Amino acid sequence: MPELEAASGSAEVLRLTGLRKSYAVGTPVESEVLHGIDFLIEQRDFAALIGPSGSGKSTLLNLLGLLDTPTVGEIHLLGEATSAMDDDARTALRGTALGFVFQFHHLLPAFSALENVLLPRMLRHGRPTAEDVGYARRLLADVGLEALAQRKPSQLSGGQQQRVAIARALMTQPRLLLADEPTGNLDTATAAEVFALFRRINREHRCAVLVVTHDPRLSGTCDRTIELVDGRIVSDKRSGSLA
Amino acid sequence: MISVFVALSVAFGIASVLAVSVVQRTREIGILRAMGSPRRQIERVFLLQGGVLGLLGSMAGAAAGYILVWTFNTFGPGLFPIPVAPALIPGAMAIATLAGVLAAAAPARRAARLDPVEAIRYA
Repeated sequence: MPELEAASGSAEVLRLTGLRKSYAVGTPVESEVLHGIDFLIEQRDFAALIGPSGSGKSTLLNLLGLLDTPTVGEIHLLGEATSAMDDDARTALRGTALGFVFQFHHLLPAFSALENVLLPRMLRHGRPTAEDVGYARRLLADVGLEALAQRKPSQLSGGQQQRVAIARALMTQPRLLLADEPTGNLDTATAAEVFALFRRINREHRCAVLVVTHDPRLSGTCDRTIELVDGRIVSDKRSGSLA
Repeated sequence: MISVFVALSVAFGIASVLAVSVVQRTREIGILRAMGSPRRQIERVFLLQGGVLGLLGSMAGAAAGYILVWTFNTFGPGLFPIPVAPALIPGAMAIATLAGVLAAAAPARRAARLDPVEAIRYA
């Protein structure tokens, strides 16, 4: 049975150093979107990344998720420098250390909720074992959907679909959960439920959570708020309740 | 000569079906890449799909052809019988399967090279 990982000696999960990202490099229209980002994500962090449209939030999230590479700077994930890694190494690290939740659930329509949760495991290890299936069921129970495990995504509500997507993101026991506007498609009450779920995951799964959100009510419930404006971090505050 | 053109048309047919399939599944490919699926795995999925299309298509074609020839030989005018060598069928199926895999090479490579960020945003 895969066990939830205990904390490693270091609380550092992700460290960004002098991160810059430019598009159309070497052309007359070259433009820099991120202008030197430095911050650290620790295992305890339940953080919101906020900022106006066009501030570079999605670009930054793609870099944090190893889906894109910085033009300058370094990203250390679990202590490993990632900029010199080839695509295979970054993909492997992404698949084990990171979980993703998107604005739209992006569940595969032909698969049941349980199969969707098992997918990250199957991609790396082939046919799931009985232990994998048991763990996936536990995750579905964690998000309150154990009874709906055999339903297809089309038979679930928007909030239920997003909770399946969250369970899927936890299947590989990631150290950092990255969520890009995960409640942008949900009503207020369901969005608050999803945020409460993120907080519980942060505590119970010992998994750092970084959520991009436009909603100040939701970002206000996080322990840390990082504000990005015009590609620069203008504030990085922890709430007073934390030591 | 005819069989060469038949093989070519099979290959082009499968290649066009798979090219459309890659476009339709762009977002799904992006999600799989984000979840840790390596490029080679994505490439294999489409190569396998090409091979399966070739195999299933040739099975259906062989069955339909066999029935038509049998019908012609049994109920036709009887002027001349059309011979069918049974050994030809597995050979033709093998060639069609291979043609399917080869035809899938270009769409599979395109799917594997998709940028996950762009693929996820694809509407």
